Amino acid sequence: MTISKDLFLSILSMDAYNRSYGQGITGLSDATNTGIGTARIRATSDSDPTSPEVAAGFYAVAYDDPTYGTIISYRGTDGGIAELAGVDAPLTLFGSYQQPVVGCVLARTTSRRGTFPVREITHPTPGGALAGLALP
Amino acid sequence: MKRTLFTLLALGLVGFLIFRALFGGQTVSWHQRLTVTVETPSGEVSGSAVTAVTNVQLEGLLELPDSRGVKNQVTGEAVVVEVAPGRYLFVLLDGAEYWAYAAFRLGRETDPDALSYEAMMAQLKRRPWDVPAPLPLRPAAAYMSNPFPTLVTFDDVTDPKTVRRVDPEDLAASFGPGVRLKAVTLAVTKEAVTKGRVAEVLGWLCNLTKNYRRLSGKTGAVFDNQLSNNLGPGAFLVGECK
Repeated sequence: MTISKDLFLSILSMDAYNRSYGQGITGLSDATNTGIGTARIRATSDSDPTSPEVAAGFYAVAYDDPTYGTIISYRGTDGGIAELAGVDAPLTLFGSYQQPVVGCVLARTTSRRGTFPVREITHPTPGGALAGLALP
Repeated sequence: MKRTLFTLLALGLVGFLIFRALFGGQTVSWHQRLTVTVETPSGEVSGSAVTAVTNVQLEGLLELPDSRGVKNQVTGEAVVVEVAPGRYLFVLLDGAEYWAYAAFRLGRETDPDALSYEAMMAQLKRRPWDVPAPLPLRPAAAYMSNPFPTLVTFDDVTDPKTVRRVDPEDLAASFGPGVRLKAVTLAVTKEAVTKGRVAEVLGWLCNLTKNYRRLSGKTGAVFDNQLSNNLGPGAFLVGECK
C-alpha cells in the first residue's frame, strides 16, 4: 500500500518519540538498519543517560529511504506550557532556538558519511519546519 | 484577625487546587535492590546493587499533549559479580525503571482492575520492604516487551572496547563450563543507593563520563550496532562519578 509523503513523514516524526530513552512505548529498537516501512535507521543521537544529548532531552534518528533519501526525525521540546513561551514563541518570532541547529548538525554529519543528501527533517513542532529551512 | 487568616488559608487552598489542575501529576519514587546469584564450579557467587527510580507524572490542563505522561529517572550503578578472579559479570542499568513492573507483576496479570498507571503505583506502594521477587529472564507481562536487563562482561576489564554481551541463559559461553545464572531477584528497600563498586572495578569509567565518551571512545551520533559504540558509561553508573 502506498501512503503519501506527508503521512509517511508524520509517522516518522512520531517514531522518534517511541525509541530509545524516555520512549512512549517500550520494545522498539533503534539499532542501525531497523526498518519502519521502507525506511531504515542509519544513525541515532547518543542516548546514554550521562550524555549532553539526554541531559538536554534531545533524541534524533536518521533514516534512509529509497524514495525520500535521508530523513531526520527528532524530539526534545517536551517542556510543558513552558515550551510555548520558552521555545516555540522565540523560535517562531526570532528563529534563534538551538534545537534546529542541533538537528542540522546531525543532518550534516549524516549526509557527510552517507550516499544520500539529507532531504527531510521532521518534527511535530515549528522547530522541525525551521530546521528544514536551515538544511544545506 | 481570625477572618483574615481564614481568607488567606482559603486562598492558599484554592491556589493549590488550581495549580494541581493546571500542572497536576504525582511523583512516585522508590529504591530497589537487584541481586544476582551465579553458580560456578567453585561455589555460588553473588552481587547486588540498590538503585533509585523516580517517576514524575506530567498531567494537567497546561501540560501540552505531547509532554504528558510519565518521565522516569534512575540513579545508581550496575550490579557487579566477580564470577572468577578478574572475570566480572555486569548487570546494566538499562530498563531499571521497568524492573519493578515485571518482578512484582504489577498491573493486569495480578489484578484485572489495575490497568492504569495510578493503580500500578498503588500496588507498588503496598509491596513489603526487602521481600525479593524473581525478575523474569524473559518478558513476563504483555505490556512490557523487554524488562530484563542487559548482561555484559569484558575480555579485558581494563579496556572498555572489549565489552561483550552475555546470554543470561548461557553464562558458560562467556565464563566457561559449570557457570550458570541461578537467580535474579528484585526487592523494594529502604537501603541507600549503592556507590563506588563499579568505579572501583572499572577504573576508566569516570574518565569516559567526564569526556562524554561511549565505551568505544567515540562521541556524537551512533552509526553502527557495535556494542562498545552503543553503550555509554551511564549504562554502568548514573550519579556522582569520582
